[in-house]
Amino acid sequence: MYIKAATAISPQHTVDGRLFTEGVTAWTGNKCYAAEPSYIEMIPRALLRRMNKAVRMGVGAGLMTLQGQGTQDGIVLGTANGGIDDSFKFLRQILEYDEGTLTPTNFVQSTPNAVAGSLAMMTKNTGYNITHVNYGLAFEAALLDAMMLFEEGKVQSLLLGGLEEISDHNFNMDLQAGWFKTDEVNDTELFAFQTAGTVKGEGATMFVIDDDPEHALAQVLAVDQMNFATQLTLQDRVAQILAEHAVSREEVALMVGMNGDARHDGWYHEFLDAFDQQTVYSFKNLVGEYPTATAFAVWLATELFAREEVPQEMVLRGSHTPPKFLLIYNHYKAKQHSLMLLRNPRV
Amino acid sequence: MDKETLKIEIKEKIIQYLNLMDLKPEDIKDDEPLFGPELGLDSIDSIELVVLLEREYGIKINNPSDGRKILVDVNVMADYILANSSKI
Repeated sequence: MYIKAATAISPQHTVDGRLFTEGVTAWTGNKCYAAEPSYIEMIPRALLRRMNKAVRMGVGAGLMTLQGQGTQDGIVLGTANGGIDDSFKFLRQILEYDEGTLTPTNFVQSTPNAVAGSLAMMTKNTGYNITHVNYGLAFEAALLDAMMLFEEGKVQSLLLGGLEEISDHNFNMDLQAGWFKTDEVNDTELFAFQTAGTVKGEGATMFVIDDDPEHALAQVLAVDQMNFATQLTLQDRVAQILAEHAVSREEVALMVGMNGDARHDGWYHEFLDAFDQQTVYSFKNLVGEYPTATAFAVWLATELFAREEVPQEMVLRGSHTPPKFLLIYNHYKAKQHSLMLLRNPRV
Repeated sequence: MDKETLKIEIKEKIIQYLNLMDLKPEDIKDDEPLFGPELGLDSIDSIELVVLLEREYGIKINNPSDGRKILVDVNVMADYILANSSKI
């Protein structure tokens, strides 16, 4: 399964490539809001004005990715919460107006599958259409679904992606539960702060994936997911994945979802102990933490495969040269763990 | 409330309810058809406008054909609200 095109709307300037020409955009606080492009040219005004941020980013990234890529056999997305702020607006209306007069827009746009549905209608795609909502493994579930469709020969190409918006309601609940930092933090010092919690991020990342290796940006070799892992089971899975694809540890660079939460970054430190020589990349210091942040990690992998030079902030350990293989390890709230192995078709 | 003030208020509410953020009240003419090519509203917007009438002016529209007679333009809406609203 090959990635043929990729777009990321993220807190960094990823749509226009300025992340690599001008460097990392600095942020402070505990929220990283997406730097959204103008959607006027791609989304009709009548649709755009009804879209919430998640739908807007997802549809925008999807349409940009599909440009020049022909017709896809389906759309497979992952999102933990979709446009959840619209859900809250709709619920508030129910209370405020005593289950009486309710407007349809918030309800229509609030469901997690609003993005895949909107993209299907706008591109007249009548193929397989599904949205996985497995919280911190939603994107991985979408990726696994796509891989199985390719293995069974049911599709030749798909639009695949993951998206999440910062919802004030969810943020406040997670803040009270201790998941986000309360001290002033910034992008360069996120990993240095030895405090609990991380920073909230958001974004939409889309890929066109295909069974044809020509002009591929990356090949997806494996995706694995687990709940309540241990370091032992994690390393066992790594060994299995590498063996299945005849990849040696020395050939692999790593990318980890370290997010500055002193309570749970130990997972990554221990994980990396088994790879003491390899280059290690990070991504959550660029875009913050969110359930489908691994979609951004995969997008970043396609860039690392293609570029000789990248901003130093992405390199956690070692030095950058386009890696032959990249193993991404991420966990969400120390409960949902995932591994993804990608191959660089250029090396 | 006099009709001129009400018309400005209706335009502000239309912009708010339909999220027409690139429009200002003065951009909407009093006799401009709501569902014409300029504003480009559609059937979902008509439901939002029915909700607007009920929430803001206490006017409940039960019969869809009544909606078609009321949601013509800002002038017609203002006349109907002045004649039927219990809230102004």
